[in-house]
Amino acid sequence: MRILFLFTFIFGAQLFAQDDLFSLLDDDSSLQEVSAIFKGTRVINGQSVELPAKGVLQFVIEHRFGTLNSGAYELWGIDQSTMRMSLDYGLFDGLAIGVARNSFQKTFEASLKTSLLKQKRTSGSPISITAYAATFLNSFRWVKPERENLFSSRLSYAYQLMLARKFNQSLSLQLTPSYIHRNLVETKAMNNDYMAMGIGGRYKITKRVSFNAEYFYQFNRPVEDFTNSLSLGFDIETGGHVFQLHITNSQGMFERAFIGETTGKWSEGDIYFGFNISRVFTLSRD
Amino acid sequence: MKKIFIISLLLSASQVMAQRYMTRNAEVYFLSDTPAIEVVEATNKQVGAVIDLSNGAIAFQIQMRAFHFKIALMEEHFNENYVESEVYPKATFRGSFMALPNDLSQENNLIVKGSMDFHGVQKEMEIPVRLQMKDGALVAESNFVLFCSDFGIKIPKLVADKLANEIQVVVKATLNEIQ
Repeated sequence: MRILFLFTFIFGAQLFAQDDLFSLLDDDSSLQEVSAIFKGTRVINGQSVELPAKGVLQFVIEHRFGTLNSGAYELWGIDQSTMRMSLDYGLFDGLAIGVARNSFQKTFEASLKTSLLKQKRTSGSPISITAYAATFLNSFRWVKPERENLFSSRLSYAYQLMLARKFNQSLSLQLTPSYIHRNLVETKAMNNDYMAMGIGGRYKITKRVSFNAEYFYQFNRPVEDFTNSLSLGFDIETGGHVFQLHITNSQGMFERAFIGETTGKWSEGDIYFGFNISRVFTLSRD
Repeated sequence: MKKIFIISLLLSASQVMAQRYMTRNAEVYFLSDTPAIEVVEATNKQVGAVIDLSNGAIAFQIQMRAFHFKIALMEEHFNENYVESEVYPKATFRGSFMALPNDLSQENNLIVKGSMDFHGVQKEMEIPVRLQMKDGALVAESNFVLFCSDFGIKIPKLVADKLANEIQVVVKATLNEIQ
């Protein structure tokens, strides 16, 4: 009996002392922010919750070729392409500004993106929220120079909220309520304002490759000529670059164009092959 | 019998409590030394450490997300592709000093033997530690080497010239007595 007591005392105390050391240290891993809900700042066409870190300049080149159904003569669309170039810079942690130029409708872009909430590992916020606002300037020559043309007629705007959750290492999903305003529309049948809901996600196939999909459903659709945007693609990460290869029924690469003015129909093979290449440069570090 | 047990338990418990030193701000720095222009290095200043002088026990707890890099993309790759902090949010080391001298007023070069739990792999290690008592605080410093391959961290061939398998680790901790 005595020996048993002594035995449990000696070994019990020693074990107790070991585990107790860890109990003195707080384990705050549940409150850690999750990293990289998406690889890039775009899911495919639309913005993701991610934005460049402070002091990081991101250069993105995007191409959308012609439709796959344009046949061998056009090399299934490769002969035609539209492009977008953008520069985004992280001014502070959670605030980025950007400028871009689209060859589609010769559109200039200025944007602001800010992180409102960050998803935590197990306790705390279950989602990340980012807000995005962009102004688009159509710089086409006036179709009718003889009439009175206002500068404001060239402008349109997009406002979006990105609500995303990283469910596990592989799966992230995002909802993107969007509001778009055009100062001038082409016909009376079109609305100046419209709302849309985007749903997108990524599934990592390997550590460096993921499958992405994205769909924008447009409410109060003005005319039947336009369709909803659906895009499927892959993200491939190679160190400082992220390559995104995809097929989509949208030729425009900015929000007003792909959410509201998509004309391609998947059912008729109006599918554009395209890619985004992003490269980051760390300009300031501290 | 019962009395003796309780008395001895109380005695030993009070002794244990009196000799514990702790910090939540120990520093762990690591470097992957390669000829690449952008060396991979990071610092974590929120490391928890406890040393119990009564029995020589030592414990470290390292949150992976608290490692900060000068380059944000490196930090993302570290968390996403290498240490997988989503699945393995922390690393721990628990062990004890092989021989703990009574006099710690001078710097002592000691060996700690214990188990490193990192990236889901447990490995027995012997780590050199310099230990000294300075102004009532216990100062522990260590330099040692870890191999990524020992802990199931794969380095793709594509980045083999930028990221070494051999990782140099520097630990600095100033622990204060728990009152």
